[in-house]
Amino acid sequence: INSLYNSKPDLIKELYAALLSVTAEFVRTGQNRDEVAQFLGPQCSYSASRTNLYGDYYEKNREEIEAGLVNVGNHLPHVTDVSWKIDYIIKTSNLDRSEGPLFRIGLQTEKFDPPSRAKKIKFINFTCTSQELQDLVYKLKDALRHCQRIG
Amino acid sequence: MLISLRGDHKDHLSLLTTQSTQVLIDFCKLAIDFLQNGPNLKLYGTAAEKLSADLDTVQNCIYGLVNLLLLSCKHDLSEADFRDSILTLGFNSDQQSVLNKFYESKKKEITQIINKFGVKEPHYDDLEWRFEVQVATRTLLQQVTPLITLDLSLKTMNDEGCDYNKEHILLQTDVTNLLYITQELEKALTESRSRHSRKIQRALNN
Repeated sequence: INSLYNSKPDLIKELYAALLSVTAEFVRTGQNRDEVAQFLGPQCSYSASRTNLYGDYYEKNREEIEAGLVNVGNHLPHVTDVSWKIDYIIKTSNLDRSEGPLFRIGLQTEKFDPPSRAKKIKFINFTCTSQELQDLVYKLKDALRHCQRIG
Repeated sequence: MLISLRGDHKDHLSLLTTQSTQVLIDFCKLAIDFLQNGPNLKLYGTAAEKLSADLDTVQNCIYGLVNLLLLSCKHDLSEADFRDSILTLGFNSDQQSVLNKFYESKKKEITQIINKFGVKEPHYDDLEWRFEVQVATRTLLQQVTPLITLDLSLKTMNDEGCDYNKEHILLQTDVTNLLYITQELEKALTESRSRHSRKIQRALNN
């Protein structure tokens, strides 16, 4: 950026920082293009062409900035995928017995990791018997029914 | 199914085949005492004197009895199987009924204990859910995001084998993911009830 205008690099830096923070503020408070123009025109004495230029850029990138801002903050890991496996136990090292269908469930969770700025994927694995799985499915269906009733 | 014992195991037990039923009952009691409290060398010494055998033989005999019990529990022998195994070892029928009582009395407890030494993995315990709507965060002041918060509790047997460690995992989903997950798990359930799975189950149980 400093190579854009060779004079007064510190002023350029200040201007850039101010531009970034004001854009973030606009997106954060959910302003649309007209409100941005209202702020820029009278209060900062920007000419109409400049306001329009800024407004165009703002419109185009607003959603991306919103998505980025939503990720900032403390969230629980978000479940995105599930994988299941049905196992039958035939023998164990200590006991010769066979057990009925045993379900191995793996839940894939994503969490946004600020240091690496990417989504981290972790798996949660557990087992359950068919009765317990039935129980789990009933509970999830209950939650779904509730959501559908509300929505 | 008949269990076959190792050569030295059979030798240890052969001491008992020639003794009377009363002696066998005493030895069974000593074996039960061994399971509860560990080896009691004084009692073994007195038993050795009464039978005019040495201490080592008596101790090995007790260990042999306990191992016989463990093997039978491991293979989950029915009464008939146990009886057949005992008869092939050379015990006569009175002794065999004593041993049978001994086996039956301890079978359940030992099976439970052996169970605990298996592979330990997290097992589903409970799931609680909560429906919520996120209205704002510090960085984005106007949102309407529906979310479902889940509290999954899993239990894992701890290393001593006596209790479950419960672990609560907090998770979040949205409605579409919840629908997808529910459909997948239902598919898993119907798969387990399909013909193929039932055939395998029948084959394993026989």
